Amino acid sequence: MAPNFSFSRLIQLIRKQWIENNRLYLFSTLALLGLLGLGFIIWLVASNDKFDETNIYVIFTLCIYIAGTIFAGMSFGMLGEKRKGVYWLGFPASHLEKLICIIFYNVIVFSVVYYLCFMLVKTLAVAYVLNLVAADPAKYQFRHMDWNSGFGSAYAYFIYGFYSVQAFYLLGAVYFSRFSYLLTTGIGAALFFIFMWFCISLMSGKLPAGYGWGGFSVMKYNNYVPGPDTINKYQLPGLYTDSISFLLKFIWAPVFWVVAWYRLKEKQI
Amino acid sequence: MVTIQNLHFAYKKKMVFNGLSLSLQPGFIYGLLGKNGTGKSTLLRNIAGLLFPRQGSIKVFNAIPGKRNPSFLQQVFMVPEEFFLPDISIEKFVKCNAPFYPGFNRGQFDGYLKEFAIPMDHSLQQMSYGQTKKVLIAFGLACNTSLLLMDEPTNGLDILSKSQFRKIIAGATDENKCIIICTHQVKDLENLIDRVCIIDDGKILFDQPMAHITSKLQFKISFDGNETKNALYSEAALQGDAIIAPNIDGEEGRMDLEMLYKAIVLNGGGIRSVFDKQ
Repeated sequence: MAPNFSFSRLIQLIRKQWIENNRLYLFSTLALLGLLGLGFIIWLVASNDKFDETNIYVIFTLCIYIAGTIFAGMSFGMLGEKRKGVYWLGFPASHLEKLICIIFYNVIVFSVVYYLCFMLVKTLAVAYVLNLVAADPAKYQFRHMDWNSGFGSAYAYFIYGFYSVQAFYLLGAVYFSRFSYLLTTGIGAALFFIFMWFCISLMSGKLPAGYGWGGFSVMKYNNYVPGPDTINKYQLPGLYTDSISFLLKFIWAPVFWVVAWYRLKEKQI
Repeated sequence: MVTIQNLHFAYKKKMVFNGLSLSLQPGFIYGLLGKNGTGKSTLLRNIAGLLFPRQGSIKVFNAIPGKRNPSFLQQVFMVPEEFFLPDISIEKFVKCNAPFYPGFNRGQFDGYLKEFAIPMDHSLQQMSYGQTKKVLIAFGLACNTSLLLMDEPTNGLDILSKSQFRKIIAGATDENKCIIICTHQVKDLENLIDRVCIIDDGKILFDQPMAHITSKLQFKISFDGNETKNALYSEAALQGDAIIAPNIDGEEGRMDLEMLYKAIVLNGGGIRSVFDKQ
């Protein structure tokens, strides 16, 4: 009796997915290069001779969100068409194997290809800029990104967030047979606004006067003279705050994948 | 092999099956007939695990199809009416799909393709509908699954291909395999089917083996007005009347599946009463 999960069958499935879709992936890579190229051209033109590396990483983040969510949204596209859905759902592999195969291409293959494409375009663009700076340092400037402040310090969270958003779009692709990208975007935006409203209400309205939030801790302001009695800080033990912080950063993608797995099992064609 | 008990299924509010029960055994080719929209394709997809019953149960090899376990899917192959094949060569298609079916036989596959006269060097999307269908049929047969489901398999096939199809299917059956064919093209498959199932109004209207049908019913042309009047079913033919009458002599004759279908739908009670008598 074939087990519900077989590593060798998963490898064969990944190989099958590649053989059947390699042309699509190749054209998608070319489109990605075009998108990144366009982003860099805009950066070069809009920088007005004062080039900031921070904007390169803004382009990286923007483009990975756009390209990654589109790719994720297309991943279960075969479920939107009856004949393709019969072909895909009726194929002798378990739902888990099929899902892992899709996750493999979305998370690992997409990330590697995206990073390589980005590095290729970035290397060319930065080399061009550095040539300009070397030729005329009075006119052209290139500022490196500050990883300790501003966008640089928040950069990692954008990347964690990307994988959560990508998993959300994968889930949307399983849930919605048609217009999945638009519906997922709409629902995601609505959830985001509800979450922000909740956070703002929580932050602004739920504490008595003289109290305020400081991350995961509550501060009580005793007086305005700096000193040891200025603030009383109430906080959860470090283990709890670290655990909550870890979960908030990394739990979303696995949660969405698990929900997608259950939804896939319920899918009917 | 396939046991369906009290199956209830609906698309949103449209009821399709209302307590359908059916048992299918290996070693037979079943012909599933019915009017448009009676649920023939839906029944096949329920058996394949692509749709789930609202009520009742379906068991295939003692497994629940809806769970779509690999061990179940490896033993079932469906040739749907509207099918999809990726835009790759036949060789690549076999390379990436055959390993998932433990019973796949490359020699058989090549033999079927040769029988169907399919060129190996074209990609699947470059072929006509009929050609890709033949590739899919060949692959499905070569997988040697215990259960083969076919929805209108002769649609899109030319006359010669239909004859080749009949020959190939007849040669592919064995005592361990069950083949279920949904079709309107009864003339194409009349001589192939072992057992006839007719669905109507969400239930099985008629379910009998062909041999039993021909032993109980007589299909003939009559020029006798009284005989026509007393027949279970009659329709005007080019000469005389084509009738279905009880087979009193017990001699097995030819069978007209199309006429039987019409008779069941229009005078099901009369036909069934012949079979109810022992």
